[in-house]
Amino acid sequence: MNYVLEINDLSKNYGSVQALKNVTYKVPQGTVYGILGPNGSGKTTMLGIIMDILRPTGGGIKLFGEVPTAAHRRRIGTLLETPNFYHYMSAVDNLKIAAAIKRVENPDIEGVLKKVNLYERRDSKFQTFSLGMKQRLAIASCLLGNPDVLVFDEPTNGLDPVGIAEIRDLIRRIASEGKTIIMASHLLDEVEKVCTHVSIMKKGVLLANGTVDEIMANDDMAETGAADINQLKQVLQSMPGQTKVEMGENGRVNIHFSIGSAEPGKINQHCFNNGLTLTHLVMKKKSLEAKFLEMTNE
Amino acid sequence: MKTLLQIEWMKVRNYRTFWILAALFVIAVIGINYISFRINTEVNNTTSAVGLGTGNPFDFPQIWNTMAWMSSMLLYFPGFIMIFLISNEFTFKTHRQNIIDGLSRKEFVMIKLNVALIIAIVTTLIVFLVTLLFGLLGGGKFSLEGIEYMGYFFICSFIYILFAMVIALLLRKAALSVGIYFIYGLIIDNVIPALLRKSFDGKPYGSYIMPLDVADGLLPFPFFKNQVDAILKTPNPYICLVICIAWIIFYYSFSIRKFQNEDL
Repeated sequence: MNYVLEINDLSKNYGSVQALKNVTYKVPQGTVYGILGPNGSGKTTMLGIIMDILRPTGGGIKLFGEVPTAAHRRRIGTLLETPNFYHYMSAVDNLKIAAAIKRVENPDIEGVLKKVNLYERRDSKFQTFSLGMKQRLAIASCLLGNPDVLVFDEPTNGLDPVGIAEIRDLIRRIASEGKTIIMASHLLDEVEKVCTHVSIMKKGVLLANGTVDEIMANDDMAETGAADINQLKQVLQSMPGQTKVEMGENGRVNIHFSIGSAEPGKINQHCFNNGLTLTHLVMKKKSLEAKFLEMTNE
Repeated sequence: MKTLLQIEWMKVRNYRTFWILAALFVIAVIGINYISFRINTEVNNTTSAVGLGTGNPFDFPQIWNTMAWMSSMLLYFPGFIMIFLISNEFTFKTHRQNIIDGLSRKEFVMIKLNVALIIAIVTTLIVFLVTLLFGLLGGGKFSLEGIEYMGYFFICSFIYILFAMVIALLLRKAALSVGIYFIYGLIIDNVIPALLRKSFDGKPYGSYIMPLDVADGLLPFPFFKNQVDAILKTPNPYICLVICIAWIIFYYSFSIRKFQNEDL
């Protein structure tokens, strides 16, 4: 398998503060890789080191399997932390500079501006833009030269709900073209909706990484309801294959199975055979949020 | 390097402060020289100036020295321009974005050093043209004798601009850099050599150790030359030149090393 990014034993200290502690993982080509962590967990520090604007204290990285150089960075569209542009220049002129640095011949500046709905404001100065527009211009800049890898640090920062949905669609569309996307976020929902892989960080430590399914599901769960809760509990406890039965929210009863073995039809059948009619039956994957809180709350 | 220079050109082309400062510099060069030209004419008309100098400072060949010396007092302008060009990158965080987009750290700092060189060349060119204008309008006979003062002026302006660049690289903030650069250049850099004169028995050794004063030492005081030489021991321009070149090498290596090794 080809890896776009390999991080090897990476550490970074700011004085006595350890922002990254021996982080190691790889991002396979063609994945949408979410980096999840609360504020101050080291996400931006890590991306900063990858992009050579921060110097690591220890360890190293590889881009496209090689020791990174400026030429590798030109093949990656990156939005890091905040949109950084020349305030006194127009959207178009700012993108011209970015394209020149990326050595993009005949950049499709109009095209990328249209993709992020900024074409109408192309000649306005950057300093007149709202935060959401600045963010969209930064995403437009990432798309210049149609790079195979995109790095987004909090891409929906400052956007309104419509803008967030647009960017999400854009990310999905880019991903469907087979491009690799590395996305840092503290918004679980965002990661859950678009990512194939996820790594969870806290205080500079990598807690877990893998596919979203691997990280999220360590068991299957069904939420059930019936008129008589106590009877329901008894019936479910008698069901073969269950690993745990517990009270859930709003008077529901949760039944757990090992991964991949829960079947709603069988649960329904089992209850019916025992003279019980279910009023509620929903299969639930443990949400990334629950998983995340569980992991980061030590 | 051509592409990189084009990128820098795009940055300054739309930058109004740059053009205003550049225009002010041109006006100031003409203005300050015109004022001293008038004063000099008045003095010559009202008193018998015989023996005060080695000729009219606004005639060829002395005019090269005179105008270079006068104009060197205005070198803070190109210094300010350099400070703004550097501190803008820090303020807008575009120094990070340029690296992220695919400049190497070395490319980024080398292009700025080249911009400093270009500003020094253009500054010298402006002063050269204004000198030519004054010299020819004054009706004197044209001479290239003493043209080396334009070379000294170039080194002097390069030192002022590089010093400004290093301050901006260290402090990152425009207002702070401009303030410290100006106060340092105008006061501290001049006061220390003056104080040191006493301990060096009137000799100008103090001027050799100050980063800007040593560049000033390249351009001797042009008026009342005979008297000045008799009273005041001025720095030796050749020693100053060697020290200036050493400073230029230092500014280059310091800027490159600093930008390559630190967190941006």
